[in-house]
Amino acid sequence: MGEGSVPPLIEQLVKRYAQDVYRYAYRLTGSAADAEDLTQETFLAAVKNIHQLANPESARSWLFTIARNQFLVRHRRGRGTVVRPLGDQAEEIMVLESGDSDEVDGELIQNALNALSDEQRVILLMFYFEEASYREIAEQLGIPIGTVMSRLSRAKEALRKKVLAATRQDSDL
Amino acid sequence: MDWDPKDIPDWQLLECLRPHEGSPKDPFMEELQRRIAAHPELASVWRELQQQDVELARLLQTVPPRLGLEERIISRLGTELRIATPSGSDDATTPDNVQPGWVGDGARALAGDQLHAKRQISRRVWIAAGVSAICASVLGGVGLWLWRRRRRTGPPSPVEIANEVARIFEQTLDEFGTGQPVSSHPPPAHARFSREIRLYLGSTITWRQATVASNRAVVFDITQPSGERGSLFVLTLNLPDFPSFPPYFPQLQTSRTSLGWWRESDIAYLLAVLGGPRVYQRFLKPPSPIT
Repeated sequence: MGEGSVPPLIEQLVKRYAQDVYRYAYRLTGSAADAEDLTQETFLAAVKNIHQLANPESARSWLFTIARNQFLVRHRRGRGTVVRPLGDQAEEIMVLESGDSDEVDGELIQNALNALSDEQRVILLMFYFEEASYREIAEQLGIPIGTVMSRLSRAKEALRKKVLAATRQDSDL
Repeated sequence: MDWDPKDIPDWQLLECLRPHEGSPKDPFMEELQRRIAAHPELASVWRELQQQDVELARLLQTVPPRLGLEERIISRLGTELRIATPSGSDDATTPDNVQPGWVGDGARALAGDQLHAKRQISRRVWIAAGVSAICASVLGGVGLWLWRRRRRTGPPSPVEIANEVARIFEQTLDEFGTGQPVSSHPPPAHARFSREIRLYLGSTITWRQATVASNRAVVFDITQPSGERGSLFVLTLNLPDFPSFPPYFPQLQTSRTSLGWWRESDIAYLLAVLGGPRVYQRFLKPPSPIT
């Protein structure tokens, strides 16, 4: 598998954080295949720039930052990571037949996320996934605090409405 | 541009501020506390939003794990590191907020090691060239012997093959069903279709070729009348670790794919289907009753 040539620190990072980065990437991209691509690209970029990791304990948020930037760069270049409408996800939803309610809720929330703009999705994941404060979001995205507050509150409201609507629709069936 | 907290509407402050973070002296937090003091009903709205946030965060972080992900990343990193040139690093993808001087102790040790290793490379190359010029024939012989021995004694494990098949299956979905129709263009004779696959009236099968773990494989793309899709990967390879009949439950699952493997004499089969265990089971003949 070629594992011998990977430095031990990198191997540790992969083993410890790959699934975390994948979860984050899955919520960003909306598909398992794209999320895996993004996760792999994130670790490739991390290896190339490992000297920039100040403190191994902050590796998780550092990796999230790389993943987020990779995602935004991809979108600006207009390649890959197309968020698909619900119809195209029918096959993935079939997997949920066996009925873990968390997974079903997870799909509901993913559909709601997919309906948001990239900027809204990124800001929401920074808030919920990275638990970043409004101030940290502003610093990392390089936008004014007031803009963060406006975008974040609108994105949260939109997400909540869509999740609630989907939940109601689901319970009506 | 600096924002005056007084300009921020109530609902934005309530949505964006968490009680536990930041300093109480934060001007936005001070402003929110002032408004709550003036309108105590805001406190309960804030509490409710916090509870909803906890639940939304939990839902967002609930994603099924991706099986075999770590192995695939390490494998790819190993490949990339082997072929990488020693010059320069690609900063285009680094976090925008990373400072050039932001180098910590843990990473510095590794970065130092890597720099040292690069300096050693040219010296090692000269030494290696000299040694290999003297010993080329001996090393060549030993290498050939080791390579043959490895080929004989180290077949890839079922999980390695299955992970690669899952990856190929998901990455080549665009090519699904674009191969040769089995009815008009028969596949190579060595790639026998498995007798364990269940076909229905109206099932369509095409075949194409692929490379799995450095072995040529024939891939049968099967579309069932229901629209369910699956690919049967056929490898002419003796893999004793494979079971001699298809497992009723998939041995590997990703969020999109279910996969099982077995062998029939010296042919290895891997069935990858788009969907969960029930879809996978519909691609297999029902197990025979035990007599």
